[in-house]
Amino acid sequence: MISPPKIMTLVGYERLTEEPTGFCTGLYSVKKENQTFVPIASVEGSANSTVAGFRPVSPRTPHWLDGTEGSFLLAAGDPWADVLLVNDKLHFGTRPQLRTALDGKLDELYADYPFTAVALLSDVSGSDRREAVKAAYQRVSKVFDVDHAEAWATETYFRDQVLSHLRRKLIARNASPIALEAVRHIQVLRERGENKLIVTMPGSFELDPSDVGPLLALGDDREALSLASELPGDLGALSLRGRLADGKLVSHYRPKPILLIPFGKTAGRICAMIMEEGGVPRFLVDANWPRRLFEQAHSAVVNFPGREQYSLAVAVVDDDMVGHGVIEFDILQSIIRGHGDIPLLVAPTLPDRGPSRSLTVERQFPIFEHDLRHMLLDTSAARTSLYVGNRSTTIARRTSLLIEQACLLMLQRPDYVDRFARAVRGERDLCLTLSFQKDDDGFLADRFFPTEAASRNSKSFSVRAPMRLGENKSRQRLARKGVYELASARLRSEGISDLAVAVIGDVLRQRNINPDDLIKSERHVEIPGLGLKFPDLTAGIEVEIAPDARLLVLAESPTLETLVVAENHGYHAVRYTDTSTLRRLLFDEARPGWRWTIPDDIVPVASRLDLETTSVFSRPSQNPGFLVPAKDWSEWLNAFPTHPLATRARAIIPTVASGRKAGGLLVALNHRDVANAARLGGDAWDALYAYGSPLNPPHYGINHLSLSESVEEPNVERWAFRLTSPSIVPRLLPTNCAVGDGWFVFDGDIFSAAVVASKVFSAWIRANAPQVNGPARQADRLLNSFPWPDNFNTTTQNAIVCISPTTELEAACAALELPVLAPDFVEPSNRSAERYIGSTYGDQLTSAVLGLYGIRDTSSEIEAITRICDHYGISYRNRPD
Amino acid sequence: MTKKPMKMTGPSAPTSDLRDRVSVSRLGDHLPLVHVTEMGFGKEILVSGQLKATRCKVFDRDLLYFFLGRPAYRLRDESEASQFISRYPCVFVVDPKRITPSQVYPFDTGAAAAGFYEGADPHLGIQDYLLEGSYDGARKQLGFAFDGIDDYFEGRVKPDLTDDVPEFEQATLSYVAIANQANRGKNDPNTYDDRASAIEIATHRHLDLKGAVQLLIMPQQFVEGKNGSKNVVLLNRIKDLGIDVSFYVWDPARTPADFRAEINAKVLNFAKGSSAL
Repeated sequence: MISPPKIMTLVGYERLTEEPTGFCTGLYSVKKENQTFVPIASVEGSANSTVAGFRPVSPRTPHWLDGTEGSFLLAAGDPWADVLLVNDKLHFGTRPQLRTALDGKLDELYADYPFTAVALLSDVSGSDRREAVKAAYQRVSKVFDVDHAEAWATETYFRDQVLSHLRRKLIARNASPIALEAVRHIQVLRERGENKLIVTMPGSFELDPSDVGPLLALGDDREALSLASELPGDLGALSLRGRLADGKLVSHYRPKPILLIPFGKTAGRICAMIMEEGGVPRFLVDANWPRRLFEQAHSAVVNFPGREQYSLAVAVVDDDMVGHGVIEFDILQSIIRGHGDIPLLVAPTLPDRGPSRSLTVERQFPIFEHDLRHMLLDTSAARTSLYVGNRSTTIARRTSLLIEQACLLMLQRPDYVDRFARAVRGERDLCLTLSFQKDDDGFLADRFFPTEAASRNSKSFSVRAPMRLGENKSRQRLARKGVYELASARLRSEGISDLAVAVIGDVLRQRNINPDDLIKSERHVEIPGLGLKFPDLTAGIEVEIAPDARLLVLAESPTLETLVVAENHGYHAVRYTDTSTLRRLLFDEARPGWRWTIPDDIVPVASRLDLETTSVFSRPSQNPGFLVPAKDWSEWLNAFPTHPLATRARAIIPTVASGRKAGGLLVALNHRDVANAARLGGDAWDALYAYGSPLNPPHYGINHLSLSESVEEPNVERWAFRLTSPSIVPRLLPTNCAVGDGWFVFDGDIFSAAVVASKVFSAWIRANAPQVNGPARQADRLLNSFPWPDNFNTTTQNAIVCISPTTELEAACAALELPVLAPDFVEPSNRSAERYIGSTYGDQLTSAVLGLYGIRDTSSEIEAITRICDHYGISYRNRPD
Repeated sequence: MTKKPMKMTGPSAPTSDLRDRVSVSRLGDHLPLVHVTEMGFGKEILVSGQLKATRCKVFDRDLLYFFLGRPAYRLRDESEASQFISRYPCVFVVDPKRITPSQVYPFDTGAAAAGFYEGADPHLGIQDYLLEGSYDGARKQLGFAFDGIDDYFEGRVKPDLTDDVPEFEQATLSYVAIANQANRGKNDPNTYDDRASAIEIATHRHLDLKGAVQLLIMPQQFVEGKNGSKNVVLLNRIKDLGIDVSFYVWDPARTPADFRAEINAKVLNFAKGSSAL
């Protein structure tokens, strides 16, 4: 299932019949998108419920709206809304809104469209509904006969009403998916001898007695009896009874819900992810369990009544909440002490830059010191690069899935929660850790990967169970179904050698290299002055790849100072999750020349500094204005070659998405030019408007373009580049072209382009990567914080030019052939991008640029960046906590 | 789910063990035949007065398909084509005496060719499941695999069906694995596939509706409309053809699974009420 955006526009409808009056299937879309969706009701069949989401459809006989009917929006979570045609006039709204809109026209509906009237009034008891049902009954009776009319009234109309009624009751009592499936098969039969309407639930379902209660109680159910009494004629006098056809009642173990309590911002986000589908878990262990398993309480008002209502409480805790005497912990602790009988699972969230203190023995703050029953979940399994599931999801999303899965495993049997609690009782260094065992095809995950919090060496009690992906189809790609295991494990006290070996082994295996013979040694390394927050969680690894790679693997992001100290001791410091850097260190460092790479995961050098910034670099920020397909523009140009707009168009450098969607190239005109042309009017403007008006720039992935005028200074060109790794290639941007989002633009001479193409610039970007990849405004600021060599100046028009190039730079630039952007541009791979600035030449260029900073004889990125920092007085030293 | 389309013949030598087993089993219940289509086509069929045999891509010949008793249509992974049937179904319940079967299979062969049966033995092809090509052949399959109508409608295969089946009877064992995909009791809600044990009967002849269609199931909204409207014309046509009608509630807030369940219940009631067949 495609996961569509949550707000949709009504773009059309599909009629059921060819009549001018009747309910239709509403067709929705994101504006100008081709994919069409229909809404799904949160309570199946109930127009009284809300929109749960949207499902893609391919309509066969759609009627598309042309805009004259108005604009109608619908979003997940909104009250259900319908498209109703009355004499071919479109009405859109909830059933109450439609009833109001049609007030006074009901008699007309009763006469000719009684079934539409029944649908419109089905959820409002009273004379109108009674009248509609009577009209429909009479219609069937007239067209066919009374027997057909009675069959319609009982087996069709009343069945539908009872089904919705039972469904609402089952959902209110949190019934199992099995019960909700079974109820859709009910049959309504009239038992003539006894003057009864019998509602029967057939089927071989094994149902829990509590899920069958509403059916069996129909005879005494006031609402159901009221529905039956509204049936026309003597049908309204029939009594009502509900029964189970095969009497298959089996008492199942059905766990009580789990209470989620967030402590902190990230924790709140994670809990919201678990609750976003109404607390229904994405995984399914047993379809007989209650559908909704999670409930959320606010940490400030925790007042859970104890085990009689919940199976388990889960405290999701942010690292920065621990150790600050947070009042909510005290409340929670006093409640736990007071009740003493509800098990508590603590699930720490994972800070960005390092392990959670709650998951390290030495730094663990005793959140719940006096409670021996609480258990600790190793959420760090969500962070390992060996995580099973969709790795493109955020750590918070993975953590939410992991918490769900762990909870479901703990609820497998009634005694499991207690057994887990006993397994870790009184042992502060024990946690629970989740691992994937095998998938549905029997593929065994035979390699257990340790986590930053735990190594696998304590297994006093464990539970394994197959987990199927449940009803949340839109989220199924997030996780992997198969057999999972929850077991107890010991928190690390020192060293992450096993984790480091596992991660490096995985990186080597991805290149079909057997790691067994290559990892020469692994040990804990004591290097003073590294300034680490978790100095115990490190491992020194030597890998026999030429030249031998000596890695200091960390559990946290290194600072520049950490890198320098490690380098001084002959080690590359790298975080274990930073697999792209590990790949570079293991495979690319073998090349001659530039070494000691700045890792991708680093505490940004410039993060704490109020750096001076320039305004050299900018993102495309102009409104795309007016888009015209290139072929149409060319036709228009032939027709009106002397029009003032003729020289104003810019060809848009396509992205993969925009090129595909547009079916070819596009050109853009800025708003000011278009406004001027509109004022002039005439045939030229009419023709252009006919081409361009329907194109919606965001539809083509074009939100902003670089449409500003070029700087007119000697030797200054406009350059555009993307932040590619490891090399950045500036490309000449011709005046008749424009780039869109994702590009950066600057005006400068060839020497400035050379600096951007050098490894100095890309290393600076990487040293600040977390910010550069963050919000766009931050990226601008950090690019503009680049300390240009003193030989460069910015002009009044913010162009960057070299005022005194060195001979070495001139020689390097003489050989520099940077590519020119053209409308047929295709984004090359990172590897091909690197080839533009070949390795040897790149080193020559970099050496020339380093020379501008007075730096010679270094082949270390780390040293280059530290010396630039020193040169400009930028402090990169670790700050004491 | 990885789809593994079933070819017409499998890599193993052809087998007839399922057909041989079924041929000696008792006759199952007497059921009507059911043809399901989308309402748009249903109207055309009613106007033409005929259910027509059309080119079948699986067997490469003109065929008209029915299921024995069960209105089974696609449930899992609904494709574009089947969406319309699911969203606007129309069901013709037909007197089996009016049909001359050309072939009988124990499941929906279209779903097999499309690879919807995960449990199928990969060494077998569709033809390995071919049954005796008669209405009684279909009833024998019903008697062989199910204890009665209710079990058949719920896809509940006899629990001891494979107890005395030796391992070399590949088609029989594979059939049971396939059929259990339609077992509502054994599968998660929303994951079973009704077609996996719906007995398929195909004929190469067209069928005149008059006198053959015993019941038509369609949305109740087709009974409304002003005098002279298209609905009224359609209703007159249905009455001319002498077809009995039953209705289901079509509503935009309902799901295809709900329509299926309601239609299933109506056909089951009809089948039980017309035991005189």
